[in-house]
Amino acid sequence: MGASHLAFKSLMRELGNEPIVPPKPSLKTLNFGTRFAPEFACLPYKILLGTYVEVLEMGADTIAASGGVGPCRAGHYAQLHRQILTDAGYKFEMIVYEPPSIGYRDFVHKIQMLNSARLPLLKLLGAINRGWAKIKAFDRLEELSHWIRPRETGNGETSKAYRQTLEIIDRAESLEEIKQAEKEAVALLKSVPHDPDFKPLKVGIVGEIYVLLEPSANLEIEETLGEMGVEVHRSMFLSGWTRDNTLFDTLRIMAKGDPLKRAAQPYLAEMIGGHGQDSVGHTVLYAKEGYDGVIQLAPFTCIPEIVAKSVLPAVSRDLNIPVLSLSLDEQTGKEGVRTRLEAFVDLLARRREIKANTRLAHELGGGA
Amino acid sequence: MSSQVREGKVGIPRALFFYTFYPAFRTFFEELGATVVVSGTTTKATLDAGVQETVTDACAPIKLYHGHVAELRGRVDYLFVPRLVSTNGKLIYCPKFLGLPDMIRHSMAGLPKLIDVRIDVRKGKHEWWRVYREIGRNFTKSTWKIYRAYRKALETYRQFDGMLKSGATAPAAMYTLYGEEILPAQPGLQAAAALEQASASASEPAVASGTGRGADRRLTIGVMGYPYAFYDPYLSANLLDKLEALGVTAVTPDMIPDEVLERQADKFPKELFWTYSDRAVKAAYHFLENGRGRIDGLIHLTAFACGPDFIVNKLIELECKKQKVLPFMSLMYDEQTGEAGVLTRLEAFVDMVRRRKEAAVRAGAPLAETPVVQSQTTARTTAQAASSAKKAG
Ligand code: SF4
Ligand code: SF4
Repeated sequence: MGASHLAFKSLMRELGNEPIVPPKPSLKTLNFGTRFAPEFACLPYKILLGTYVEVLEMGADTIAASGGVGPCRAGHYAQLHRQILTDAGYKFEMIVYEPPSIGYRDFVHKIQMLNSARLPLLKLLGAINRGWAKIKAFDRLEELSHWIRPRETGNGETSKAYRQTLEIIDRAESLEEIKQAEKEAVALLKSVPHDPDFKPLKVGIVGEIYVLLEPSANLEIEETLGEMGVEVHRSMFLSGWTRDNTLFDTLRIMAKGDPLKRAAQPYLAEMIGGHGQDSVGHTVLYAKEGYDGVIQLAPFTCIPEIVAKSVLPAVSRDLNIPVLSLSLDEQTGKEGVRTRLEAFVDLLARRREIKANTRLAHELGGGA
Repeated sequence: MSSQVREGKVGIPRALFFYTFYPAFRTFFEELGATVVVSGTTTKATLDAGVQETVTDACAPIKLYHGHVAELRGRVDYLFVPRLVSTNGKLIYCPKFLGLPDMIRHSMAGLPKLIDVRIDVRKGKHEWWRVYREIGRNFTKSTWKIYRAYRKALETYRQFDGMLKSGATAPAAMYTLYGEEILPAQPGLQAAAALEQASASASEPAVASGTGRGADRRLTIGVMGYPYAFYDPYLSANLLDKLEALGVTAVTPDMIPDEVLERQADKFPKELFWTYSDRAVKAAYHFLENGRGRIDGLIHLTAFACGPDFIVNKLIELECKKQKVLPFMSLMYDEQTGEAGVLTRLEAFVDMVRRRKEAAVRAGAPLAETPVVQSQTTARTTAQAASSAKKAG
């Protein structure tokens, strides 16, 4: 997902597998997916199936089914994927993992299963740590790009630089090199001409994890928003680095319970699978942190996100924060999304102006 | 005085788990001195009201549930909207059931007090008692009274479930228990026919009905899907009545005993997470394995854009394709499924099933390999079929 496949690729090679790394999900991927998948399968399901067909066509004989899709239907994904592909006449073997979660432990677990070079444990751990270091580097760079992009003075410079930084990290091999590469990459991104004093609108992005993390599934929404001058904050990163992930926060969570769940509680009291409850919780937190708006990304027919979507208007009303829900399927076009985003950003800008004006009026009134 | 009476009205929407749990909860509430009010049978107006209150991408059954709640709003003191998490101790329900009270509470205004007890018996069957006690607290402080009502409720549940397992449809069983009151205005063909069938097959186990009774042209078709769809006359476009009129006995997943379904479990590397979906798939597998000569075809009634159903439908379809023993049709409904479109397709399917069966009887041989009829109709084509049928008619 996102840039993470680059990290997996180098890791696979170290483990003695000849990886056929699926190309970035493309129109072709989707076409394969929609050809074989049931009509109402959710977008992640279709993209994943399409990806399998693509690698099978490229000559793969084993599919390692992981991929980090949301847990709600993921448990059934692999099983049905296998049956559909077999029915379509493909011959292959499939290694299936239990529903993936994100974070280090799960990552280690997956990797162990693919260790076909039978690397001794110590070496294996070394390889894993390198892969993990890359994932974290990718996440940091992405987050930084979210900050720089709305502030850039040129046009599209950040995205260009960001793509270069991915290559820089991809080339690094040892832990030391990765560290160096990350420094270099950060410097490169920061060198993009930008105005640090600009105060962009801030929008939080919530929703189902796959469409959140895979830019080709969300039609590069973060780039689009950034280039409209909006700073985005995404509620989830692959390395599991949500904002509640510092040691201090971990301790607080242990003491007081998960703040995310607590935030969602009044609106959605049940863990409903997928990331439905997270979407609601993050929206509440974004509102409390003074964000200008929230965008929910949901694959069409995604059950947990539909539930979340039905309670989000109440959150929006109670906490006075605009929420835009985008439902994504293979027919969603980038232009249509852009139009809706523009309208939403306009609305946010107007609200901010009104707020500023009333504040000004207050201050002036207070002075007189 | 009058205020005391008013305070005891509990509304139960005629949707979702209604067809599984209504009798038990009705007994329970009544034993505690409350009056149970059920929303009416679904009409277009019910569904339209629900559509108003819900997000567009919700499935029709969820929209319909909101519609039934809207009908009860203002007429009752309590609304019984439990959060069904797990009732069999193993599987859970579709995430939309899990979030149901939240959806209702946050998208509808002017609601009475919600009884939104969380039902989750994964810790053990004794959890049922905790659930009932929690509900009962709304009406009385006496644990003893609640306990007695709880025992009665279980009794009713067993009685009702027993009727289902002997081949009665849920509406027919409820008609037997409560009469006209539960099926106002139109006890209709469905109830009457199913009643008749229930008594006819009382001596036989569910699947056995419709066995080679010589010249009998009756067919038996397994109707897979969810009770809240195939029993709802509006959502299903009167599917069961139409089948009856075509001389078909319908067998539904809720008529098959749990132990029988469980025998299919090892065919799945992983069971479906969701209770109703799991039943539907296992029932289909069961019919494919044991239905030879007793079941003549399978229909899967599925909701437009239902989350779990894309898996359920595909699993059934692939298994039918593999086994090649039963003709299969899937029938999709949404908010505007046309009656006429459904009828045309049903007739064609039943015709095919009947010809196939008669050919086999004539040849005195086992049935030839079956074509799998996978005619998925989406809303639009259903509507088209409906309008073209209208024109043709
Ligand atoms: S959470 Fe949504 S997108 Fe993810 S598997 Fe479930 S339904 Fe599909
Ligand atoms: S199982 Fe399907 S039809 Fe039933 S509530 Fe869930 S999504 Fe809707």
